[in-house]
Amino acid sequence: MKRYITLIILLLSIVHSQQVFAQNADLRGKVETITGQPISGATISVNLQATTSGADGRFYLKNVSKGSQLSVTCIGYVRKTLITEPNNDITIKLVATNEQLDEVVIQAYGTTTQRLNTGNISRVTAKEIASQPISNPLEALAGRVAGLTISQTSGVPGAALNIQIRGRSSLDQTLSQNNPLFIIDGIFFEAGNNPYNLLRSSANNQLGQGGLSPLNNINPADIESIEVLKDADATAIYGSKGANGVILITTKKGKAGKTSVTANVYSGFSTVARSIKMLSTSQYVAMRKEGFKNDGITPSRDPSDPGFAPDITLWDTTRNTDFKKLLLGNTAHASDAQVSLNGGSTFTQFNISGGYHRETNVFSNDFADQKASLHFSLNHISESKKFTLVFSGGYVDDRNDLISADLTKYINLPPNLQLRDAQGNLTWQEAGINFVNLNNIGNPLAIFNQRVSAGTENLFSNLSLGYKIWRQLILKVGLNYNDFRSDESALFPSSSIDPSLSSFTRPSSNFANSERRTWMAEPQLTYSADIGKGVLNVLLGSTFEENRYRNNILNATNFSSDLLLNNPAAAGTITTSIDQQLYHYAAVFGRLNYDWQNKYLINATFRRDGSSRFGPGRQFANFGAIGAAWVFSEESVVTDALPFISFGKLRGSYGVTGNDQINNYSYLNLYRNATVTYQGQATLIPTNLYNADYGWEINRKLEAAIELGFLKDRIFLSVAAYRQRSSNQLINYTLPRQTGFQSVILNLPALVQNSGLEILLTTKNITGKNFKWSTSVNITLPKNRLLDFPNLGQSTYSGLYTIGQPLSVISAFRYTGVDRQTGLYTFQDVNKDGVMDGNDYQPLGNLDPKFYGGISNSIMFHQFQLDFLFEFKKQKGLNYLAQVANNLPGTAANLPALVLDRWQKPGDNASIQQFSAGNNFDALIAQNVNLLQSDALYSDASYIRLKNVALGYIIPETLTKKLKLGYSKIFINAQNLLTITGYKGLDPETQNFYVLPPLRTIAVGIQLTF
Amino acid sequence: MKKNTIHTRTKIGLFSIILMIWVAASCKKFVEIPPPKSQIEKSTLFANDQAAISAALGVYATMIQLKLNIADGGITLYPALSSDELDYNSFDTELLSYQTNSIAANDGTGNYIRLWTPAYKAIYNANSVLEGLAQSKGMTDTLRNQLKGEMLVTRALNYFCLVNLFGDVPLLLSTDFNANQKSGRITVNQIYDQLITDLTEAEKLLPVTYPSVVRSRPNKLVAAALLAKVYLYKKNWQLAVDQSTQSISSGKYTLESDLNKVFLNTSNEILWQLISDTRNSADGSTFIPSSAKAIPAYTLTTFQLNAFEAGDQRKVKWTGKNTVSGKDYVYPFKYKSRLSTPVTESQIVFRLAEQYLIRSEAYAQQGKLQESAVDLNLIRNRAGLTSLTFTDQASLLAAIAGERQTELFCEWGNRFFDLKRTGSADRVLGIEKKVNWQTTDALYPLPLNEVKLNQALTQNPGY
Repeated sequence: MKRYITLIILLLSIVHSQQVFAQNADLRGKVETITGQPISGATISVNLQATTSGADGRFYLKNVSKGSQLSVTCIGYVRKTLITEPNNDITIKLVATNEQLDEVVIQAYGTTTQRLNTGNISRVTAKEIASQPISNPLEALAGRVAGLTISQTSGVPGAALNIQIRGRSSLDQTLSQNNPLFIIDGIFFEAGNNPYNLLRSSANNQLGQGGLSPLNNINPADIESIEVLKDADATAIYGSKGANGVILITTKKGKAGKTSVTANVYSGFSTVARSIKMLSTSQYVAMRKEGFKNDGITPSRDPSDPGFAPDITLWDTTRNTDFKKLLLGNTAHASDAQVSLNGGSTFTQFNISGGYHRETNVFSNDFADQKASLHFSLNHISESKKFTLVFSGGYVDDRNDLISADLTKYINLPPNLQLRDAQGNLTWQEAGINFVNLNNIGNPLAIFNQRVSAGTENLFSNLSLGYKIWRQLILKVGLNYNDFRSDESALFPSSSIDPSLSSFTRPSSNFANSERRTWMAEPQLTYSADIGKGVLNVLLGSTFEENRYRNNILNATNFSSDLLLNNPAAAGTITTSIDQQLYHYAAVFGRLNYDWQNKYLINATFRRDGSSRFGPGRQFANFGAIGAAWVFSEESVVTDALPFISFGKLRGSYGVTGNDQINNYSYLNLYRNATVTYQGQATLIPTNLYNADYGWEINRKLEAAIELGFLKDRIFLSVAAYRQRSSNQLINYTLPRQTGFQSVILNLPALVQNSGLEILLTTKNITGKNFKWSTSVNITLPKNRLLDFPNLGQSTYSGLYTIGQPLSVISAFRYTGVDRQTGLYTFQDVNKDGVMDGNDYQPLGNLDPKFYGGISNSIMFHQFQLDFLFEFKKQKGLNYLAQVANNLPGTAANLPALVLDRWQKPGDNASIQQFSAGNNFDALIAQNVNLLQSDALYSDASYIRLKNVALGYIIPETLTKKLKLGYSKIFINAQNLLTITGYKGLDPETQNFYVLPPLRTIAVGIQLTF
Repeated sequence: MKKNTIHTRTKIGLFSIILMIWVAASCKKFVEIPPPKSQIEKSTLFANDQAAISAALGVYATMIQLKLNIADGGITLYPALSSDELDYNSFDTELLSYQTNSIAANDGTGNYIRLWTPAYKAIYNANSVLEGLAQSKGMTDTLRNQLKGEMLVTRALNYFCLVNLFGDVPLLLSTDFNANQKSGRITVNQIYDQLITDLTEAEKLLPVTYPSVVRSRPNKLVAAALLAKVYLYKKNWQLAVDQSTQSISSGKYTLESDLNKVFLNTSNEILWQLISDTRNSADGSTFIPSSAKAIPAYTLTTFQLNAFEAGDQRKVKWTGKNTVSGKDYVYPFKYKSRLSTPVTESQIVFRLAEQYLIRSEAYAQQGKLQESAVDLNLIRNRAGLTSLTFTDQASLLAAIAGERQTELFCEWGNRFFDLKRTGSADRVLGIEKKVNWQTTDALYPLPLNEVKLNQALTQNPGY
C-alpha cells in the first residue's frame, strides 16, 4: 500500500514545483457575457490573490506575474481559465451554464457535472421523488434510470424490491444477489437491500422470497438526489464494493436565505391494481364433477372413498365467495405529512425536517405501516473560508403491523367454503367434515388473528470537517455512524388455529431482534492546482469501517392460553438462537482528475481494499479505473462545421471493481453449537468446510459513450455502450459428499458477461413562458451471457446454466401442447427414450428483459404542472400456469377462469389438459411433474405501465403574496394508474397470482411555504 | 515573514501526508478480526477440555440425528431388505429396489443420502476432532487420549460399514477437502489394515471404564469388540478369539436372561449404544407398526421365520404379529418402543451376545469344537434352546451361522455381511431371491453423483 502513497506524494510535489518566477505587472480587464453584457460578482483569481468584478464587470489585479494562470468563476457561468498577458486590458467572455449540463451531480467523494463527467452517473432528483406517493425511495427509480432494473416483490407495505444495475453477474445467488452498494450521505448503508426481517410475514411471498426492505427506513422526502453510478470510472473508487454499481443517496441540505417553513401533506388510497378472474362456485363445481367423471370415479361423502369430495357432495354449493374481494378488496389508506425548516446566512445554513407516514394495507385497515422521521443538516464555513463543516443526520422509526401470511395465496380456496357460522364465528368444518381433511384447507379469516409486527429504527449521521491547509490543499475528515435495529414479533393465538389441530398445534409466538451498527472514518486530502491550461484535482483518502451485527431469535411454543403470548416466559417450550458478526474494512483510495479547458478530461481512480471477509493473505486487493472524455463541441472546427451541435462529448472508461458480498467468517475453521444434545450435554459440530484461500470476485467494466446536444441543447442525446465481465466467481462449489460436506466456497474461473446499450433522449418540445413541455426517454438493451464455466456438466449448476446463454436461461422440457386424443399435456422427448427426464431439457429462451426503460413528460401550462411517467419492459416471465401446476384443475382448489379452455373429448384443441380430481396418475404426472419442468410456464410478460402521474396547481404569486406565503401548490399524485399488457396472470411484475401485486395509489395533497 | 508562513503550512501539509501514510499502514491490522462470538474456532476449541468433549459428542449426536441414516437404523434396514431377512409391504419404489436387489446407481435417498453421505460425514467429524486433538495445547493428556481413542473407534465403525456395503471406498484420514475430493478407492484389505492399526491404538488409549453411565461412548472393550469383528471378517481366528475374549472375560457384561430386556438401554449386555436424548431407537420406530390394525411396512421373511427352531423364545419375544384381513404379518420386535418418549431404548452398536458368537466361530474355525460349543450354547440356552454337542467342524459352523441368523437378525446388517464374508451369498440368496439375485448385488452401487463429481471413483460392476 505504501508504494501507492509514495506515488501520490511524488505527483503532488511535481504540482508544487510549478512555481514560475517571472516578470510582474498589473492586470485589468472586464468580464462579460457572450453577448457583451457586463457580469458583476465574478471571482478572478491568480496565484494567491483574488478579486471580484464590479457592477460594470471590470476588475483590477496588482503585481501579476506574466504567464501565470488566471481563473474566472461566477455562479451561473462556466469556469474559465486563461494565461495572463499583463498590461493589456483583457475582456473575458463567460458562457452561461446550462441547467442540464452544469447542474451539480454527486459522485464518489465529491461532485461533478454532466459536462465534465468522464463516467456514467444517472440522477433522480427531489422533484421526481416528490411526485410519487411512495414510502420506499427505491420505488422512485423505476423507469427513470437506464441500466437499472427494479421490481416489487409484493404489494405489501414495506416489502422489498429487487434491484440490479446492468444485470446479474454472480452465478451463485445464494452468495450474492448483485445488490448495488447503497451510500447515504457518505456512509455505507450495510443493511442494504437485503430483507432485514428474521420472522416471516405477509411481505414474504409464497416462495419464501421477499421480505421487508431496510431502505423503507429512509424518508423519501428527506432526499435531495439519488445518483446511480454505473461504469468503472464512477464505481472503481469503491473498489471491492463497486462491482454491482453504487447508489448514492444524498439528503437535503440547508440553503442560505430567509428562514422558511415548508409543509407538505397528502392523503390517498390504494387498491389492488390488477386482478385475475377466478371460477365462480357453479364453474368450480362443474370443474370438480368433470374431473371426477374423467377419472371414472363418483364423488363421495365417505372420507375413505377415493372419490371423497365434501366440497361438492356435503357442503352448500349455493354459496359463492369472491376470495379476491374478501381478502384483498380493502381500500388501503395512506397519509403523509412533512414539515421542514430551512434558512441560514452565507456562513451557516440549516435544514430541519420532520415527517410522518402511515399506510394501511389492502388486507385490512387494522394493520398499518407507520413511519416517523426526523432529519437535520447543518453547514458551516468559517469567515476565512478555510474551515468547513457539514453535520447531518436522520432518524427513522417505523412500525409495520402485518399479518403472518400474504392472503393472496388463499384466493384458490373453494368458492363455496363456509367461513362463518350463523352466529358469525369462524368455522373450520361443514357437515361434520373438517376443512383440513380436504386438501389441507384452513380458514383464511383466522390469519387476521396472527399478528406480525416489525419495528425498525434507522439512525444515520455524518460529520464532515474540512480545513484548507495551504492554497488548495484541503484536509477533510468524514465521520459516519449508522445504527439499524429491528424488533419483530409474531403471535399465533389459539383463535387462529384450527381446533381440530389444537392438540398438536399450540398457541405460539416468535420474537426476533437485530442490530447492525456501522461506523466509518474517512480522512481525505484534496488538492487542486492549475497546470498548463488545465486544472488538476487530486484526491487521496482512506476508509475505515466497522460493522457489528447481532441478532437473536426466540421461538416460544406450547402456551397454555393466548393471554400471555407476549411473554415468552409463559411458554412451555422455548428455543433461541443468536448470531454475532463483526466486519472490518479498510482502504486507501485516490483520484487524479485533469481538465484541460473543459475540453479534454482524464480521470484516474484507484483503491486498495482490505476486508475481514477473506482469510489471511487474501484480505487485500487493488482496484482502479481510467476514464477520459473529449468535449468536441469546444473545438471550433466542430462548431463551425456543425453549428446545430451545441454540445458534444465522447467519453470512455475501463476499470476493475470487486464484489465482496459474501458471508463473514467463511474462511475460518469453525465449530458451532449443534441443535441436538448427547446425553443431555451440549454438542459442537463443524460449521462448514473451510477454505482460507478464496478471494474477491472481479468485475471488469468497459464503457464508451457519446453525448450530443442539438439546437442549444433543446435536444439532448446520450448513447452508452457497456460491457462488464465478472470473473473469479465466488460460488458454493459442489463437492463429492465423501468430503463430509456438499460444497465449499471458492473462486471459479467462470466468466459472466453483461453488455448492452443505454440510450437517453431528452427534448424540450415547447419552451414558452407559460407553456413548457419536455420529454425524456430512456431505453436499455441488455444482454447477459455465461461465457465460460469449467466442468459445468459435472457441477450442480449443470441443470441451471448453459454456456453461451444468459444466466436466466430457461432450461426445460419443450411443451408440445395438449394431445387431442389423450387430453394430456405433451412434451418433446429429445432423446426419444420414452422417459421425460433431465436429459430432455433444452435451452428455451431466457428471463432477461429484451429491452426496458421509461418515458417521462413534464408539462407546465400557466399555473398547472403535469408530470407523467411510463415504464416499459419487454420480457418473458412465469405465467399463471406456474401456479396452476401446483393444483391439478379438478382437485379441491379454485383456479383462474383461464383453465376453462380445457380438453373435454377426443379431438378437442385446448390449452389446458383434461380436468382430473386427482385420481388420474397420468394427468398428475403430466402436470405436477412434467408441466412444472416445461417452458409452458413461461410466456410474454411485457408491459407498459403508467407508473406515475403528478398534477399540480401552483398557487399564483398574486395570491401567495396576499397570504404571505412562498411557493405553494395543490397536487394529485398517482402511482401504477394503468398497465397495458397481454400477460396471462395477475401482474407481470410479481409474476405470481398468489402474491399481492403492486398497488394503485392515488393521493391528494397540498404544499405550503411560509 | 510570508515565506515563513508558507513554510509552516508546508509542514502542516507534510504532517497530513505522513498522517495519511500512517493511517494507510494501519489498515492491515484493522482487517484482522477476532473469530465470531457465537461460534468457536477449532484451534480455540481444542484448548479447552469441556469444549473438546462437546466436539466429540457432536460426532455421536450427528450420527443419530436423522432416522435411517447409516448409524441410526439405515445399516439395519437396507441390508436386511437386500438379504433374506425382510419383506417390504409398501410402494416406495426405492425401498422396493433394495428388496429386489436392483438398486439404481442414482438412488437418491437410501444409498446416497442415508448410507454414503452420513458415513463420510461422521468420518469427517471424527477426523476433525482427531486433528484438533493432535494440535491442541492445554488439554489434559488423559482426556486427549480418551477422546482420540473414541474417535478412532467411531471412524473405524463407519469404515467397517462402508466396506461391507460398497467394497473398496476412499480412505480419508484428514479434513483436507482438496485432497479428499479427488481420493479414489482403496482396497478393502488396506482399509481393514488401517482399522486394525487404529483400533489397536484405541485399545491402548482408552480406559475400561466408561466416561458415562449408560455406555453411550466407546471404552477400551468396544475397541476390542470392533477389532474382534474385523479379525473375524479377515479370518484371523486367533486374534478374533483374543479380542472377543476381552469383553467376555472382563466381568463388565452379562447376557440378559430376560429376552425382553436385552434391548433396553439399561441392559447389561450392551457394550456401546448411540443414545438420542429425544427419542427411542430408530429400529423400534421403523419396524413396529403404528397400530395393531396396520400392515407393517417391513415383515420378516418366511425364510427368516423358518430359521427359528421350535421353542426358540426369540421367535416369541423378538417378533411381533399383526393380523390384517385374516393375514398374519410378523415384524421384528427386538426394540419394544415405537413412540419417542419416554426414552428407554437406544440404537445398540455392540452387545455381548455378538462377541460370544464371534469367539464361538473363531474357535470352531481353529478346530476347538469344545470351546466353541460352550459359547454357542450360552446363546442357545438364553433363547430357551437346549445345548448341543458337535463332533465335526462343518455342522458346528453351520449351527453357528444359524445361530447368528436368529440372534442377530435385523441388527447392523449382520446377516447380509455374514452371507457375503462366508461366500454363501450366491448360494443362499440365489435360491431365496431367485431371479433377481446377481453376484454383483453383493455390493451396493457407489452413488452416481459421487462418481460424477470425483473422476477417481470407479463404479462397482453390475451398475
